[in-house]
Amino acid sequence: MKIDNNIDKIFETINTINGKSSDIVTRLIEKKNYRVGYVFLESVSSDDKISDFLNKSLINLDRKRLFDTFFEQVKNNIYNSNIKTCDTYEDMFYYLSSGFTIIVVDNSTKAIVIETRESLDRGVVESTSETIIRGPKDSFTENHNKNLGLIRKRIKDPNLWFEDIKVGVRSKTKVTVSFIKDIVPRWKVDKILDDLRKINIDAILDSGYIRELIEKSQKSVFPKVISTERPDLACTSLLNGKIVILVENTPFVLILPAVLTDFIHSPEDNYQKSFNISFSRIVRTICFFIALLTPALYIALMTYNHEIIPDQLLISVAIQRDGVPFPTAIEVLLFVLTFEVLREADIHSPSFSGSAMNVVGALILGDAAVAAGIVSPIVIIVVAATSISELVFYDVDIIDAVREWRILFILGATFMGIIGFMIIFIIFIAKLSSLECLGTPYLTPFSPLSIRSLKDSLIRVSRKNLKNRPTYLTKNVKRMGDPIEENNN
Amino acid sequence: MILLTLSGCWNYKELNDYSIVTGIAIDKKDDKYEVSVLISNAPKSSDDNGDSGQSQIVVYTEDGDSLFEALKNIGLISPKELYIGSFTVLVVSEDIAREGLENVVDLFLRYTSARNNFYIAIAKDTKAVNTLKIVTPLTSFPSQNISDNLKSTTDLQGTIAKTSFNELLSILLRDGIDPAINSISVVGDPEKGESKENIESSEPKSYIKIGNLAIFKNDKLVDWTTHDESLGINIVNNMINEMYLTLNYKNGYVVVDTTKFNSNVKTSVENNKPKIEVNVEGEARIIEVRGNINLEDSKLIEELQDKSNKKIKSHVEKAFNLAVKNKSDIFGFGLKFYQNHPKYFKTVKDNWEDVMGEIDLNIKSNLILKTKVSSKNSLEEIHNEKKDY
Repeated sequence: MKIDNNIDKIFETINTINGKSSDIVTRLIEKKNYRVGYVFLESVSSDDKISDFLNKSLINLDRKRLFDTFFEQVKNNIYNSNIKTCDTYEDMFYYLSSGFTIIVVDNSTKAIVIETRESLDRGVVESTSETIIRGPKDSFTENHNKNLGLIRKRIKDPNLWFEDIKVGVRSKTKVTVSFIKDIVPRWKVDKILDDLRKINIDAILDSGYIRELIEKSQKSVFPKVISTERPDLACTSLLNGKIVILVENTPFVLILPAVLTDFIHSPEDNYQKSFNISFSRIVRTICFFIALLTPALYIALMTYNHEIIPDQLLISVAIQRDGVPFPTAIEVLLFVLTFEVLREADIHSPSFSGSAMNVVGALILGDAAVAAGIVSPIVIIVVAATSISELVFYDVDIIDAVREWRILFILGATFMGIIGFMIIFIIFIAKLSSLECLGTPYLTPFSPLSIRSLKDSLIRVSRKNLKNRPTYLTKNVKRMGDPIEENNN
Repeated sequence: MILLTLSGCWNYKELNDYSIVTGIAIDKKDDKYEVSVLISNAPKSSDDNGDSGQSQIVVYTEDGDSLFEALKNIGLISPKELYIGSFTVLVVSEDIAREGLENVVDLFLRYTSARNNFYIAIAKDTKAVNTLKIVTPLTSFPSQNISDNLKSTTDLQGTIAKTSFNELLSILLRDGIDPAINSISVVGDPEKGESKENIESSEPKSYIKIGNLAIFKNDKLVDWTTHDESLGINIVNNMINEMYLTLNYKNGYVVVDTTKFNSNVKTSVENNKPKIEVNVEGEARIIEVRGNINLEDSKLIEELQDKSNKKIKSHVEKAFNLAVKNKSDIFGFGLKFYQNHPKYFKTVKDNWEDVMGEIDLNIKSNLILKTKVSSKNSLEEIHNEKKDY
């Protein structure tokens, strides 16, 4: 709908469209020789900015006619750096909701839009969901501009491009696709922009929406997109040739394409000695398999394949299990479930009830269950080892994926012992190999094997040997600069 | 997929539905076999629950016309199914061993759930079942005591050579080699060894001791060996890691401890006569000296070296004579001839046990006595020297 050319009419229309919402503020300045009005939403705009700069400049409009029209004269006399124009009510409302102020004059079908945003965020604070020991501690916030800034200030390269797109019929959420132009192949960016344009949804409230809608082509519990609130991880990924999607109003950005090995990495991997990091990564890999397989293996060995267990252990386990009323599988599932309940409760409970839950979890469920003869101690050990192992991962999505596959493994082992376990394992590998994101198979660099990319996968070689980007992400493999040469200078 | 689920829970068995058998003993009672099993996962009495991993043991005995019948009869006593899969020791009584191990070996070869790596021992001067009943303070259950003892002593004592079922089987299946199996015996009153007091007292009233080898003719026990003969057998069979030799010297003695001990057997046929050369190599050091002996004297060292070599030779000869006497080829000489001189062996195969007596046995022992590491003189000698000043 086009804007009317009369101030009163415009004010009236705005109020009608928005049902006279209480936060709409309209003001009309009537002077001897001119009339000018402005409108803003006080809930998202900064009163100070409006009074200090806008109001003052509108009242003291220079009478000299330097411009052809009064509209131009108003537009060029406002003390504000970010001035736009709009000519429809739809645009006007988008700007109003974003915290802009609209200035309207008579006899013009355009409106002036100036930025008077109130910053409605908590500022850059330390990341709470992804804590590290060494390295930058800032994290993305709900403020889109700040998020872009956090990336921009780290990579001061003109090739760092941001491409915006608005997603969501009602929310009109700003989604920025960020990439380094000379590293990332253009078709990947186009593919993402295309996917984003195809999204037809009423609102995007978090990057989780985008991620679900992008990933939907292949159903899998394993995450194909890394979700992080750490700007340093986003920048590392950008420099490696990945694409970062930033979504307005959420601190979590999306990094894609992701491969399985990305999830055993941690942002601080870049800030510590390569040898230590390689060790940590190997530990995490072992944990991955422990978390995935232990309960299933335990069930398979305990109920089908006793001959594999050494006799000493066999006897010790048999004695522990004596008098436990449930079958091993039920016993394990019961305790796995108990742990999941505890974890779920822990995430959502306020911190003051944490200690009460520790008592319930550790003392009552663990000790008392054994004493009451409901579970055998070794099951508690198995479930505890599993649960601790899954918590070493940095990304919550991989934990969820491991958790779901673990149940499948348990079922396989319950019904068919070690054979069922192996069948599920084959399905597991087949499923993982079939996944891909933006043309990158999920198991790269192992399958397909890429020797050069192995340098930064399960292990990380020292930085002077890491002059190349992962080959599966980009053809422009050579990193700029040479760490060894710099050392010599 | 449907097929997979249809097989549902095949072979499914909870671990605590089993009685885990860790040792089996076979005795003879009149004309019947008496089979005893040692069950090790009986839970402890309830007053000390929580002490998991520790167990009480139960020994069940039943008899039957066949071994399997006796074994199955135990199922009538035991509240849980017997799990034979992981037992570690099979003790056979002397009378059964003298009758022949064939049906014993046959049973465990056919019994699919039994593993083949358990150890075999012959009970000497006692019923086989008694060896399973002796509880000891150092291990949780008697079968573990026996198998651990066999394992550790094989490395450290020259006279012991553990025999696993697999080894026994491969020996029995081949011509020209006969088994030699360790004996075990109960020292003290076996009935006292069954009770808990045996664990609680610091000096067990009754314990199990690994004894010398029993030599077999095919699958039948024919004779017991002495310490020297066991040593001789193990020297030739190269089963020795460490052993000691006590050498009498003047009015005292010197004990040498061997390391890097190695032996090999060479066969040859000369004039249609079998000839065997046993080469023994190794190093030894003096570990105990008694008497007025000056170890700085290099001639004396040579003399001691000769003495130990002679001792080794005499051990081997003793063992060989015993073997010839019992017509039992415990050294596997026949097998060696079969491997190296198959044509010759074919001609003597049928009466190999007699031909064995004609073997021209030539033992070369080359044990080197190293003196660098130990104190040169005995303390007594040093003492005497000081007196002179």
